[in-house]
Amino acid sequence: MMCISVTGGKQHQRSSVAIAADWFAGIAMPDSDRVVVEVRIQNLTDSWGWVSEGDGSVYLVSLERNQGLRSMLRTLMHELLHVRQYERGTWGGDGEREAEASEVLADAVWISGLI
Amino acid sequence: MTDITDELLRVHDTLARRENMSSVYIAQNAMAEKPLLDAIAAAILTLGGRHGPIVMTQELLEEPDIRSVVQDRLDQGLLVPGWGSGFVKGGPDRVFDDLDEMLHTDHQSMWKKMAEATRLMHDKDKWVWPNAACYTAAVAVVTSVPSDISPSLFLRGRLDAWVEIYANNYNPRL
Repeated sequence: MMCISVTGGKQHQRSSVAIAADWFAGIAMPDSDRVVVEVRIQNLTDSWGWVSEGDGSVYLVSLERNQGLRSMLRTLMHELLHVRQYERGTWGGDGEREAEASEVLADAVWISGLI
Repeated sequence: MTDITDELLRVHDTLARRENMSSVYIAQNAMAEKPLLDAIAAAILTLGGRHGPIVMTQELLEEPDIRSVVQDRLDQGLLVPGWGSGFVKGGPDRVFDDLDEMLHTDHQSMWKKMAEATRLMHDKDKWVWPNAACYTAAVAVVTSVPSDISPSLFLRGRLDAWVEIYANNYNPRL
């Protein structure tokens, strides 16, 4: 499973994001051992979050710290879906499909009781 | 920081501005040139049964073993009071997000009960989520408002919007 680290933000944000990212990795990218995702919860000026591709299969996901936890989880899922697309070479489109799927995923992990 | 009751009242104000049964009754009574208090009384009388079953939902949330009660209702083919929306299908209504987070953060045992009931329904392919009656009942429980008083939370949250709706639709010619 992919390697995930979370830094920044508050303790409950870090732990919730780590749990949600692990959950995503387990169901959506179970065979991605070489993928590394570094999540940073920080102040962003103009978006709720974004993802950038580093060397190899290393990705940096940045999340705006001043948003509700459920909003943060939706943003996280959205960016992780992009990581999955990068890895599979299927990135494209306007992001609308990812937005819808990220809501479903975020709701599922929220209601799972894991967080 | 917003108090959980304040947040509930804010949510009800938002919901009252949708075309739900009680708000529609307010508008229709205003258009029929009925007095404001008659319109409010008509709106209140829509509550209960399948529309805003706050008391039933509170009794459910106060059950120590909500899982077995929900399971029994599902086995009997009954609806579960407090779940399902006429406005948002297939996912949770985002208007409750902040309230849900407040329950998650400060009232975990109540939040877990609601989540457990929701998961049970999803396991049965009933893709419903907690609704306004459920959140009203949950806030009542965690703030120690008894079930014979809790419907007042609904009224407190909706009254300002109802008065505005009435005023916007009241144009007497008689």
